[in-house]
Amino acid sequence: MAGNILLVEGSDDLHTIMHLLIRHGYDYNTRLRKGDDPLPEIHELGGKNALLDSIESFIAGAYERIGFIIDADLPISSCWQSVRNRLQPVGVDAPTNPIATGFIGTSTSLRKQVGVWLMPDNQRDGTLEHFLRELIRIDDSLFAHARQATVGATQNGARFAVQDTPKAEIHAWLAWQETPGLPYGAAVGAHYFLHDQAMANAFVDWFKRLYGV
Amino acid sequence: MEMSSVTFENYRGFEKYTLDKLSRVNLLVGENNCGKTAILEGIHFLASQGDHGVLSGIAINRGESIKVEYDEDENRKVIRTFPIMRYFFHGRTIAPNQFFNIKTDYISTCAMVTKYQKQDTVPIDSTYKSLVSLTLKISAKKEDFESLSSIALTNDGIIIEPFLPQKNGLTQSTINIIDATQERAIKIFYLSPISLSIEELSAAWNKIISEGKDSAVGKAMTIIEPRLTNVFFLSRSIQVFNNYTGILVELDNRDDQRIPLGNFGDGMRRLLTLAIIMIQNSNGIVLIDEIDTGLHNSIMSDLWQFVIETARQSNIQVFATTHSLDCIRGLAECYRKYPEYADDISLQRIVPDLEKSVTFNAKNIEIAMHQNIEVR
Repeated sequence: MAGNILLVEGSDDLHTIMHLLIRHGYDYNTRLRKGDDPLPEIHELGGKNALLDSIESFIAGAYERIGFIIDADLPISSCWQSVRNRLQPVGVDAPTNPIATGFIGTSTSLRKQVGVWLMPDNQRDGTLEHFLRELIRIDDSLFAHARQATVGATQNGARFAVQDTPKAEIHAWLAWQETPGLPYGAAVGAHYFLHDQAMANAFVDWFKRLYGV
Repeated sequence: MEMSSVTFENYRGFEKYTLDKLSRVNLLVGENNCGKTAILEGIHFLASQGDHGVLSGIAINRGESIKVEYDEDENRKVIRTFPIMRYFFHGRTIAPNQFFNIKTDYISTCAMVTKYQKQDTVPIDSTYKSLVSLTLKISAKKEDFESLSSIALTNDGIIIEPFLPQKNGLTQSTINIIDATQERAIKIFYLSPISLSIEELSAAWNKIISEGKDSAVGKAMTIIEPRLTNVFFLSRSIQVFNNYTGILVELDNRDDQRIPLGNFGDGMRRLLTLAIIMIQNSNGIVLIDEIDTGLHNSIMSDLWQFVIETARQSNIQVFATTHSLDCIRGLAECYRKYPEYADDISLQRIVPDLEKSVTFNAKNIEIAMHQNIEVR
């Protein structure tokens, strides 16, 4: 067996999750993997479709516990349905609606545990950015300014699509940190983001339960 | 007739196990000791319709046998090898009422142990009569055919009747049960990682020539050597057995360019063997243990193309095993080049603790290789 594995859509997801886990005390900095290491390797798969398409193959592969983190931007109901359709052939029964604390199920035929976390919180439509936005203090005046500036930018011809507004806001905010323009993962590592806010804690709790770590 | 699933019960490492969703060409993968070879051997026994000679051959091939030296007469000592049957049974022990069976949609075989009784009338050499205590009864059922045979065993499950491990002149590296007198038999060939000897190869080659299929073999060989235009087997009298100087390979259609096969690498011999076996087993089953043995990574995709295309054209079902990721990658690459093979391919991940093999279809094999998913 190749141990446990966690699959994410892209490199921002990978680094954000990894740094968040490091801040929760998981050793992703220095470790050398051993065969029986319960901490999962984290892999990015190059986008949402690539991740959805490989769900069955990963579960059928030589892994013990397998987790998937997927943006719920389809909207969430159809995103969850796409996931369920791919879990069913490998013997994983998933409920009709996503579970707020994150889905963890078992493939009875393959005798292995499978988990799915829909970004941001298994309830709302959204992406990694919606999750990250929760990791900024509510009273953060710089973020309030970043939001206003983003509105102003649109009025001045900024060309990003409406659904990318959270991304634009977060990048504007990151541009004004002590080290300007860090990518998400590094910014989590640099403590610009909170790590123990409710949504982050719920995610880490799902991670703990799925991998038994 | 293609097998769509095969079930093993109380057989070797499997209490109950099913190979499911089989295709025309099936690649078996899994950790060391997961039972891939045992599965190939089981299919061999099944397709042989319960031939105990096949079981004995497998046991001897695996070294599950004992050697006994005895005096045949005053002047001559003889060493005989006797196969041990108990390793075929789950738990590796043997006692009355134990059985294993292997079945597919249209044929089933069962090997059952009973107490030896005189009326079992199994032929036994008088030398060993006193050792016999058990009988192995092997039955096979097919729509139009039913057979039952018995063979005497010792307490430890050793076959002690006079036994010939060599059938049709084949050595222990292969067990071939093609038998012209057995009209009903399913054509089957088991290729172990050790390739055939030159004698076996040239015997097979004569058949290929007589059937006019030699150009197909030559074409397959161009996978490794694109310049190859012909293959010649020298007659027995000048062959030096057990190396490959007896086979000449012609390059570029030039008769001054005939080079001994021994000058090429292992891959060439392996591919020649594979090509001959595939081409002469139309409408049959070909079992290939460690298909990639001796073959370079770079030709894996072409190898699969040859195997799949021949299997399609000649109606052959193939079961192969591998440990090699490159071999699986080659299969994925072959499917990418020839999407029309989608329904002809399956990857079977063997996990003995489960009830069924884990099946990857062509598309999922490709995804698994693209995403570096560990499938072995």
